[in-house]
Amino acid sequence: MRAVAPSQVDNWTKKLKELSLLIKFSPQSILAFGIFRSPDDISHLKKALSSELAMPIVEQRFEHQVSSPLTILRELPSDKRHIIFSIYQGDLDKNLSSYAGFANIQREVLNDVPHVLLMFFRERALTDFIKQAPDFWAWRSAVLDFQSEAPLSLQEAWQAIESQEQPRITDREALEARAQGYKELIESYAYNQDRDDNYLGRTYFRLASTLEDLTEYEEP
Amino acid sequence: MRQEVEPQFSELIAIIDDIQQEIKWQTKKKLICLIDGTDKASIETAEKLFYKHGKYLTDPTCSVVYSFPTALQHNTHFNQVRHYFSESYLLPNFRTQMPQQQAAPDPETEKQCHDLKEVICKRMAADLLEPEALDALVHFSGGIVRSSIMLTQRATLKALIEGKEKIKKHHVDIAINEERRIFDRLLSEKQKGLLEHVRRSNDIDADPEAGYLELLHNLSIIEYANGHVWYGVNPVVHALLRED
Repeated sequence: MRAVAPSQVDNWTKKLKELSLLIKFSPQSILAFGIFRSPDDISHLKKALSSELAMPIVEQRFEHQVSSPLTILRELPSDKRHIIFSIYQGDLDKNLSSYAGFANIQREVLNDVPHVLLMFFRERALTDFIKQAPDFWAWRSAVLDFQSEAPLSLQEAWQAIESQEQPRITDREALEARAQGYKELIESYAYNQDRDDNYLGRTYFRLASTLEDLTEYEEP
Repeated sequence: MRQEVEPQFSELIAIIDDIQQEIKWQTKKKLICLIDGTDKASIETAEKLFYKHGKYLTDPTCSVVYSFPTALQHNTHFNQVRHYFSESYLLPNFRTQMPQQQAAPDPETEKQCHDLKEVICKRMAADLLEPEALDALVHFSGGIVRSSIMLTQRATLKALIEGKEKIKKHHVDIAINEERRIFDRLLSEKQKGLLEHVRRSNDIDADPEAGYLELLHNLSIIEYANGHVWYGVNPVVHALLRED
């Protein structure tokens, strides 16, 4: 776990408390949104929530070939309340549109089940999701920011790319952090009208190299 | 697209007819069928459904009420859409603000603010809310019931986190600020410019290209229909705009 500032810890603890209270005090279904930066943010929350509440947590990840994030609500037994972590980690493309489209049309299912649906997005993807699923969004009970401190500032990533030197990293966590930094850089830069395609290409190349390096490590 | 929609569409009409015949046969009573969810369609889909297929929507032999997106009212084909149906009704928001931002509330606005307070207090014990907190909830909801409930729920959580027994204005302010940050993420500078225009004029340009309908859809602009139709900026968003 990376070291984080005390104020950030306080803020994170408040968000966890808010989510726990929301779940405890609302017996019906709950729709909440969580913003994450790295997969660690979610596993950290899952661990903390498990110790706070005696409720099963089911995790679903959506990336390619996106199906409805709401199907699982009907599949789980309605006599036992579950928390569902629905994690969108795909790109900002047609997959998100399809994911948002399902949610917007099928929101009524939330009236029929007792479960807690916690949908996780990265910041940019959440903004796009809201635009594409406004009616589903209108049913939210909370939006909670669980983002850890930026693992790699955009400036640092930019400098690394511009220097053409890929630092040799042998630590899985640091590699994941670097990959995440490149993804964020691409996400923020790809929509820039004045973008330099060579620069964008180099960033994609760095991301690919980092992801390839990551394959040498087993999942923790 | 036409090929995809039509089978579902004719199926819907057939289902309505089957249901109404079955109920009529069993109960000897007439049926009113409410089709909800059709208001969630995008404006393009709603136009296809209500304009291109509008005349078929009235095929069922029972009375049917369809919900439709507010933005469809501003579609160039809406007059023709209206002709397919006996009536079109707009379910108005509570008018909790005046057309001119600085104007003092008139008796009708005060009454509607009072009515919305009653709605909130039907859902929770009124003595859990400090009067200033209740006033702020009503004002910043913009008269949208769902927003008032959502802000109340959030403010309640803030009070619980602090271990307080009453919801104070300060808790409502935190909830409003969180909501404002979301709008700030969503709105472009161009859209904020459009909202500044609405704040001054209380009107929108209904041309889909002008960009106002999207703002109506995401509730940055709220439609009020009390006497005449006018448009206000969502009070949560006001602080994101430049001063006049």
